[in-house]
Amino acid sequence: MAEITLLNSGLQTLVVDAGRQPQAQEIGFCASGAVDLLSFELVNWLCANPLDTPALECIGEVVFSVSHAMEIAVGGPAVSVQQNGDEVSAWQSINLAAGDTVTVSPRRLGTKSYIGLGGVLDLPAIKGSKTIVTREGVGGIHNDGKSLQKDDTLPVAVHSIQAMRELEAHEIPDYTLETPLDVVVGYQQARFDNWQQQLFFASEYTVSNDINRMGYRLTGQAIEVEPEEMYSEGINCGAIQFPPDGQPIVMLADRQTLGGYPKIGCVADYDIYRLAQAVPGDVVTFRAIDADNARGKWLLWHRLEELIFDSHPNSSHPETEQR
Amino acid sequence: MRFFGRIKDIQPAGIDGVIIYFSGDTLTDKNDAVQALARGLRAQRLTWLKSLIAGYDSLLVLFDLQRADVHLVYRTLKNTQPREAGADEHSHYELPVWYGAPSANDIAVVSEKTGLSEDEVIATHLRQQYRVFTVGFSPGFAYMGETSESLSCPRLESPRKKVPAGAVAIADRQTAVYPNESPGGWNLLGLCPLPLFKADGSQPITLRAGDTVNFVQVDEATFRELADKHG
Repeated sequence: MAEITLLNSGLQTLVVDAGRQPQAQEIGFCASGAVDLLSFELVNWLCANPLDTPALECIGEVVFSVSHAMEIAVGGPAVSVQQNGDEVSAWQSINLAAGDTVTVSPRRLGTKSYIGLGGVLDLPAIKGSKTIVTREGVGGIHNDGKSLQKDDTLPVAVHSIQAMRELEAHEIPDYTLETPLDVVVGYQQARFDNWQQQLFFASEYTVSNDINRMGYRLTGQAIEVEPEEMYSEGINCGAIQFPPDGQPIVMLADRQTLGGYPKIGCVADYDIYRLAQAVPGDVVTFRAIDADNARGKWLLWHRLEELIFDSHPNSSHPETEQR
Repeated sequence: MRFFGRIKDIQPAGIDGVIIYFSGDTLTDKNDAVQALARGLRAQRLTWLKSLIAGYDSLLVLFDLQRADVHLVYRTLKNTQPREAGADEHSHYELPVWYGAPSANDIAVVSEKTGLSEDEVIATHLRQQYRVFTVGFSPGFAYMGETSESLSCPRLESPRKKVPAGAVAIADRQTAVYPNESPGGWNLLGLCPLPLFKADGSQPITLRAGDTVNFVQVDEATFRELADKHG
């Protein structure tokens, strides 16, 4: 079996995939999975993998070598890739020879780079997922939830090298934050009075330093919500909750399954990748959208993604594994 | 039971979610309604249903966006009959507890807060069957209730940094077993030797909303025997 050896694991390198079976949340397991599912799926497509194949999610500069010839692909915001010291393009399949060394460096510190691997990592799967969940101490080489470290080796069953794939310029994800993030209002929205809701949607929020795979804490205009005792309830991905200080927290892949803070709604699924790629100091804004329009946009967004996946003449459509 | 009448509110919960809130005179009543609707939905084997996350008084329904929209979810809710629990639908567990285990013993504090003697604290906790209202916070953490009013006990003023795995605890009118070592602010009564969480996902006991639990007192020797067997 081929091996990938990490020579530099950057600030954090994790194995991620599409996340656990959704029913695992019913017994308290967090959803987990890649925080930026769009980039994750694209690097898998570039490697001719099923779209939910485990890949690496990296923060900071990461260097690794491979023991056997294999295919990889790298994606993420403004990421540069070197193969044995020579610049190669992101967002395309890259054929590595045995012994090759790859350096992945994002231009901005804090963004997530995704490394798709042409094969399947041989690691324990918990509740249908190989994602490393540090908070729960689950997943990874020793199944203890530790992020990958320098000198770690990952066994991978490589598949044969497929025809080269690359994204056209317009197919590369747009990570910019100029457009507001769509929010499906709901949950306790009725407890936020009209003026507070308007204030929230009219204000700019700065991404704080307190961000991780559980959630992003933002700072800006504090929002008041009518105090009222509430019981813990299920938290969907993207939920925007307000603790007593009135500063919003957007919940992401490793969020706890239940929580008791009032929520104004959820960032729409198709906009979560942009927030997940924001770094401290970035500014985001929100805009309300109703559930029907949001679903319409989601379906269109998925159709566009399928057009990319169907576009390659030499490829079969990668089927997402049924979970 | 006129079921739709128990629904207090329905709200969107993201692009692929709807959350339903229930009314009722007591927390147990509300949670009954949550469980009955969850059973009614599960029984239909809906292809678009991804997950049903029960809260205390709410049910988060996650659906497949390719196959359903909120209107289909609402229509289905309207036509769903609540279901009483079938005999094989929920499990009953008897969880052994070594009350007063040195690493998890706030019984004196609880005695002071409740006015019950230390023996009465244990006897009161043992006397009742509890229902799992919801599972979350961390894998396998089951919120059970309601404990007897006489045992109702506020959380610790400052949470502990470390509660040992297996700690059996009470707070307000709830009880729980900490599945793994974590911070926590509940009052500890003892230790349960059966693992409720394992990193390999193979926990022998998986508590789910709607399950019932009785605690059974064991001594230190039995605790150690059981802990060895299941370690």
